[in-house]
Amino acid sequence: MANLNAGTTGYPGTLDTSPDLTDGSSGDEILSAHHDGRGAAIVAVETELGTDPAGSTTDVKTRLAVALNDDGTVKSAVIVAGGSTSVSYSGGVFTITVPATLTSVAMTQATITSAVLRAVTLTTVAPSTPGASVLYSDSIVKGWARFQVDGTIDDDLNVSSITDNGIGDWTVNWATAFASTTYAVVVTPQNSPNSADGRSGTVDSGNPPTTTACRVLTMDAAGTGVARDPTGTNPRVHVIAIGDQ
Amino acid sequence: MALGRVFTNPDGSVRVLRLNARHRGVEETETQFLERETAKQADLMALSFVDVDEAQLPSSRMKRHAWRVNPARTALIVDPGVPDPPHPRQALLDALDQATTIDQLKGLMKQMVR
Repeated sequence: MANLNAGTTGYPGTLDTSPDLTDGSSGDEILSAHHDGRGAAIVAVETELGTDPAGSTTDVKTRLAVALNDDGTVKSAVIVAGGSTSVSYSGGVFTITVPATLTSVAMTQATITSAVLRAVTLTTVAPSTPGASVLYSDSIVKGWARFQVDGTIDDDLNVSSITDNGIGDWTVNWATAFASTTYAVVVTPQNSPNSADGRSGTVDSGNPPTTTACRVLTMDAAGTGVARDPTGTNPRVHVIAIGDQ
Repeated sequence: MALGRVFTNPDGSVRVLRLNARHRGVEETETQFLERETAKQADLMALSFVDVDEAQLPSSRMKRHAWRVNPARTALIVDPGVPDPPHPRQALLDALDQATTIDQLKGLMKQMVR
């Protein structure tokens, strides 16, 4: 804390003091230090604000009011992305709204952290010629599971239950249904390499997929058309599904 | 205790619905969860069923074809009276038994390595 009457300022590090001077024969003698202290304080304030702090607005208060609420929180309409794109903010959630004609939105990896980006909802399906390295709503895996031959699920995404229909025969039930029955499914057994049983996986064409379930088989290696469980020390079935939801 | 739902096919064989517990609703009972999952499979809707503790399911699938709901409809058992299914290539095995010439055996072996 500095006394401006002593000719110096402590601002912006500390706030200054300015004791009253007194007039009259017994009063204070006006010294250059009295002016120097105030001059130094003014320069310190200018330095702290920088040049043209009001920008294109009439004053600093007006400029701050564009971006901030009175309590210092960010105004919802403050971020303008250009064109008809907008960003709103409420309750800790930023919502980016882009026009339908916009073909891409770029986000740098540095702006994304797991703490704030918990889930992304994609709503645009791929065009007839998908863009390179572009993520669309129909280009992401919608369900997968690794399960044991008795139907016990080791791990999954979107698989709410498994029905053990018999040897080499299971129905995978989706927690969130597909929009149509034309989704694609990959089935593969985890098997002993030298086993003839359960060597290949297939979607059961006799019981084609529904929007809520998909029946899968693992077949023997002899081509007899008989379903067989995978065997070996750690037999499993792996299923991955991709399609519209 | 985790429940599984055992459905009985018209031929007596069974299908076992196993739940994924982490997809169960917060206020959903296990039975309600089973109902919800059953509704996803239209072919199960017409079948009779019994809910059993998964711990009581047979531990081995060696006789999976012989799994049956017991007469009291309280448990899933391995029915010793259910015959084993024929070997998928039983016809070929029978032909091997009946082969009497080298040429017949050669022909059958070609079928085996197809």
